[in-house]
Parts: sequence; C-alpha cells; structure tokens
Amino acid sequence: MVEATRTLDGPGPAAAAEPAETIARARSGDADAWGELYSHYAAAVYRFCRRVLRTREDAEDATMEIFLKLREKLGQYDPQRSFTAWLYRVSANHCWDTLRRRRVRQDLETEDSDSLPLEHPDPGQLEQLIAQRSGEQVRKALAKLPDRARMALVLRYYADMEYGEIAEALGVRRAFVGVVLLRARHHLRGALQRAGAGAAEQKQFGAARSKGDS
Amino acid sequence: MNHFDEMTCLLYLEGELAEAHAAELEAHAKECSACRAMLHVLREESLLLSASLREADETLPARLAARQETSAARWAWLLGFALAGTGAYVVWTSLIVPWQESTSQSGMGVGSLLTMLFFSGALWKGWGSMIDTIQAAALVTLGVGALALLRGRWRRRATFAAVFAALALLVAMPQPASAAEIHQGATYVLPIGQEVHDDLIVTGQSIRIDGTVDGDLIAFGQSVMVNGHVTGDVIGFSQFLHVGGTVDGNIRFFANTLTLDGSVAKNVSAFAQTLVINSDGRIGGSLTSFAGDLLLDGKLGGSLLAFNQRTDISGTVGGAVQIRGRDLTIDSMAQLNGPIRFTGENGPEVAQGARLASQVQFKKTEPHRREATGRTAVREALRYGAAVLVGLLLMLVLPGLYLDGVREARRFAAAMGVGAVALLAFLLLIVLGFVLVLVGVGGGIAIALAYAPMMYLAQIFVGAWLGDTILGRKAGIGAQLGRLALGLLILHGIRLVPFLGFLVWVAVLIWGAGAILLALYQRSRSVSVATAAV
Repeated sequence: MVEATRTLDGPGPAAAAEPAETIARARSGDADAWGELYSHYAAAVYRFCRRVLRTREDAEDATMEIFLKLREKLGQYDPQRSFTAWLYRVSANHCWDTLRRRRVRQDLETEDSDSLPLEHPDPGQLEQLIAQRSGEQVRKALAKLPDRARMALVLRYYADMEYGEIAEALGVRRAFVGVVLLRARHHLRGALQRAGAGAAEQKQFGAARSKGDS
Repeated sequence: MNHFDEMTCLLYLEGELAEAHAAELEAHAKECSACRAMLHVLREESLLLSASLREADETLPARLAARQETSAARWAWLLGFALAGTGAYVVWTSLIVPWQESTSQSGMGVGSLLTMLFFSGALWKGWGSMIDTIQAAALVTLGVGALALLRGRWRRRATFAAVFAALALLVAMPQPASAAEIHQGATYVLPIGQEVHDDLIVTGQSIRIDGTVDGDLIAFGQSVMVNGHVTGDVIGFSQFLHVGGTVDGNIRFFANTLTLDGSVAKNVSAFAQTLVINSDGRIGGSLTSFAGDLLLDGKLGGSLLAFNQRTDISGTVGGAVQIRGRDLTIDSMAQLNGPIRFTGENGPEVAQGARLASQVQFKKTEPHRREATGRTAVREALRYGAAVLVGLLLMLVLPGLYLDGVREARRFAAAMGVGAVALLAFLLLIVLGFVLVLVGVGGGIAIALAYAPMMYLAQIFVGAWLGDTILGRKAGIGAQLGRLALGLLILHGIRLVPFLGFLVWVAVLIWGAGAILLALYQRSRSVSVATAAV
C-alpha cells in the first residue's frame, strides 16, 4: 500500500519526449523549427490555460501570448533542463498575472479563510466521492475554486511542477505549498459534494415527475 | 499511537517529507489501517485529479491550430527602419524645410502653433540643434538596427538599450553649452550699470533688467521689463513684457501684452493677445506674430508674417507683408516697401496717404467646400494608409504589446479613464516641461517624444478593437491586419464627417492612449513579476 511515494511523477502532458533537436534549431532562429514546436506544444499549453483561466476566450488569448513570450525568451532557456518545465513555468507566470489582473474581490475574501482549520476527512466517504465523480465533474468543480487553489492544483497535477516551482509561480513560501494544495483539495471536495447533491436531487425530482406523468 | 494527519500524509505521497519523518510514517502505516486508508484515498484523489485535468476534452481551437506566422519579424524591423527613415526624410523635406524657408522669406507657410513652437524655436532657441540631434539619432538608430541585423542574432532589449542610450547621449550633449546664471524669487532687478556675463535665467513675479546681460535672457514671470541691454536673445513667457532697451539678438516670447519701445537687432516671434510696436520701436529683422491685435507703429526692417485677428500698421515695413486674419488696417503714416498679401474675412482698409510699394493682394477666406473636402479626403486616405502600415509594423515588431493594447482597448471604461487622466497629466507636463525646458531639456523632450507616438498609435488600438468587434478574432497576421484595416477605415471615414468626426477622434485618442498606457503598465508589471519569479 505504501510502496510508491511518487506515483504521480509520470510524464506530464507533452513531456513524453522532448524534441531536443527541434528545440536547438528553434533556438538558433529557425522559423520552421519554431513552427514544429508550436504544433507540438500548442495543445498542452492551451489546455493548461483552459484549466487555469476562467473563460475560453481568455485561454485562447493567453495561449497566443504565451507562445509569443516563449519565442522571445527562447534564448534564455537552458537546454540542460527540461523544456516542458520551462514552458509551463512561463505559462504559469503569464496566467497567474492574467488572473491577478482580473482578480475579483470575492476571491480575496475566500482566500482570507486560509487560517481556518481543516476538518480531518473520513477516508471511506472520500473514497466513495472519488469513485463516483467523472473527469468532467471534477473539471466543473475545479472552475468554482478560487484562483489560487485552482492554479495550485493545475500546476501540481497537470503541469507536474515541483513544490519549489509552484511556490515561485504563486509567490508563496515553499513550505506553504502543501497547505495550499490541501486546502484546494478540501475546496474541491466541497464543490464536488455540492454538485453531486444537486445532481442527485434533480435526478430524484425528474424521476418523481416522470412517475407522476405516467 | 497517534495517527498522522492529512497534511503529513499528502506531503509523504508527494515525496515532500524528510526521509526520517517519511520512514516513521511508513512504519506507522504498516500497523495502522486508518492511516493506510487515508494514504490510499489521497493517492486515489491525486490520480483522479491528474486524469481529469489531463483529459483531452476539447480540441484545439482553429484560431490556435494554425501555425503562427512569425518569420516575418525580421524583415518587419528592416521595413520599419526604412519607413521611419523615409518618413523622417519626407517630413523634413516636405514640411519643415519649406516652412522654415517660407517663414524666413516671410512666405505663407501652413504654420500651426505647434510647428512654430517645436521647429522654429519660438520658445527654445536650441530646437535648431535639436533637429540636427534628431537626424543624428535617426542615423544612430538605423546603424544599430543594421548592425544587429547583420549579426544575425537579435537581442531586442539590448538593441533598444543601445538606441536609447545613444538618444539620451545626443539629447544630453547640447546642454553644457547653456550653462547660465539662474535666479529665482519674487522680484529680480538687474540695476543700471551692472552686467551679467553669461546667459541669465530668471523666474519671478516681477523681473526688471536695467543693466546689461551679455548673453541670452530667459525669463518667466508676471511682468518682465527690459530697459537695459541684452546682447543675446530674450526668451520666455509672462503676462507683460516691455522692451524699452536694446536687444542685439531675437525676441521669442509668449505674453499677454507685449510692448516694444526699444530696438531689437534681429527677429521677433511673439504669441500675444496684444502686441504693440510703438513709434520708437525698431526691429532689424522680421516679425512673426500670432496675436489678437497687432499695432505696428514703429519700424520693421525685415518682413512681417502675421496670424492676427486685427492688424493695424502705421509704421514702416522694409520687407514683404503676409497677413492672415480678420481685419487689416493700414494708416496714412504707413510705409510698406515690399509686396503685401492679405488673406482674411474683410477687405483691407488702406488710408489715403499710405505709401505702399504695391497694391494689397487680397484673398477673401471663402469656404471652398468641395475642393477642400476633396483634398481632405485624399489626405485622409493617405493618413489611413500610413496608419495601417504602422499598425502592421507594430503587429510584427511588438506583437505582445499589440495584443495587450488591443485587449486593454476592450476594457472601454478603464481605457477611457486612464486616457483622459493621462492626457491631462501630459498637457500639464508639457507646460511644465517647457518651463523646465531651459533647465532640464532632456525631460521636456522625452515627454514630447513620448506624447506624439502615443497619440498616433492610439488610433491603431481602437481600430483593431473595432475590427475585432466586427469580424471576430481569428489568429494570424493576415486576419489581424485585415481587421485592423477595416477598423481604421471606419475610423478615418468617420473623421471626414465635419463635427462628429472631431468628437469621435478625440474619443479615439483618449481611448487608445488609455489602452496603450494600460498595456504598458501591465507589461511592466508582468516583467517585474517574471523577473521576481526567476
């Protein structure tokens, strides 16, 4: 049960194989190579933006802007290190910036609740909740989280970032990243539960009605 | 035995727990089913999260699926520099040089107040050298750009830095020449018999020069009296300026009331409500006047170029007379030795006995509507073409800024607010800048240099916004340019409408300038955030 401590460190999306040679050519100014890189990573970056930002339009804009930034900064990329990690770092900074520009007051308030103690969950109930929820439900619930919580989850479980990188991207202390992630999970569980309850009610209501009709 | 809390379990799963602590937890979990269950469910949750987030639920939007056309950037720079160079050359040869020539020969240039201010040295005698400076700066810019292109590797920031450093250097260079004596205070009096062997810069409520200034006199005050002798120019602005003494150079002044009883060896350019050259007044060179009323009773050696509401001449003018205004009266004592041209609403009144070398050539200002609109339409079309070109360049050279600007333009209210505040602030700064121009030339120029391009680029962001609004937002330079072209076409079309066009244009300027400033602000912030994060 406790054998693997890093089950999640598998390849992130788009990390499968980094086209090192294409990256090198793009770095030396080859426009075609850049085009290839774009085709290779556009979907991953777009999906990242889509998960983090609130609207589809914002995600599209952000994707374009991120690639412009990437191209501008390509010279600063250290080929010794992971390209994907660098790509997501730039994306994270850009999106976090966008979010902070749009940040609504409500979000600031919800994040004030950081100091509240978290309830210890019941593993049995939680397991049930997890087993019942589909990917789409999770994504919908995720969209309801405050910016920082959502961002933290995406950075960790989509972009596969290390805690240190997440801390940098969110501008928090490294030691605080775990707390942010755990709180985000609690938030998410709450949202999932509420969504589930709503759905169940609707189902019951619908069933009752169809019964009444017949 | 105590159970481990959820936080510790999560950190353990994420590999974030110190080794000793992790070993302790592992040992405990072997014994404790509750903690095992917690670890299990947290891991399940992580897997659910990763799976849901990474699921390819959506296809890439078409606007992103197309490959980015980015290879254009390099030739865009080249084209940009070439265009900028050509533009500067055209402006220089077609506008500034002829205007200067025409003013010096007292011909009728289309001199607006601004051109006068900036290029003819109405306020600052150093503008002549500034123009050389700008040319030199353009050359430096071109040189640096070419060098960077030749080297193949394009470090945008470094190049910008080099260009701006060169510009700053060039701007800074003419300054040491204007070392001067500076005075501030409520009242300044230079008594009779005293001499200042340098340029004299004075600010104060009441300024009185009875002695001698061996250099230029630069004065800002409520009332300025020059009864002594100034060997250089007299420059400045005040409510009243009275020159009773001798000025060996030029007078370039803004004043509510300007009276001249003494003599000026060279030229006078004045912006004044009332400008009076009394019968004892002598001007060796020419007089350029922007005034409500001009009374010329004294003797003018050179030519007269005037944009006045009312002009009354009873003295002598040696050269040509060119006047645009409402009324012209020539009294019986007048003696005009050159050709006289008057463009105005009312015909000239020439008294009997006035000695004129030739008849007054009068041209009534009539509304040449059809011709005028035709010409404006052509000019507008040219402007439109130029704006589209500039937009294209911006799109290629600074695509990030372009996109940011267009996005900020979408936030109409914010952009308008920022724009309005900024324009007011800018106007203030410009006025202040001119006060400071003589002290801190660099600052004034920097403001003026930033202001003009911003005003120009404003239309591009609003145009792009308009195009986006009408046609949607598809990616690709071609599509973007098409939308920009449409947006600008509409804006320039509206501009042709007499009154509405003006109002709309003002709104466009405010709106676009606001968008630019917002975009710049956001970019400066994101840069600082990015650097902070690295």
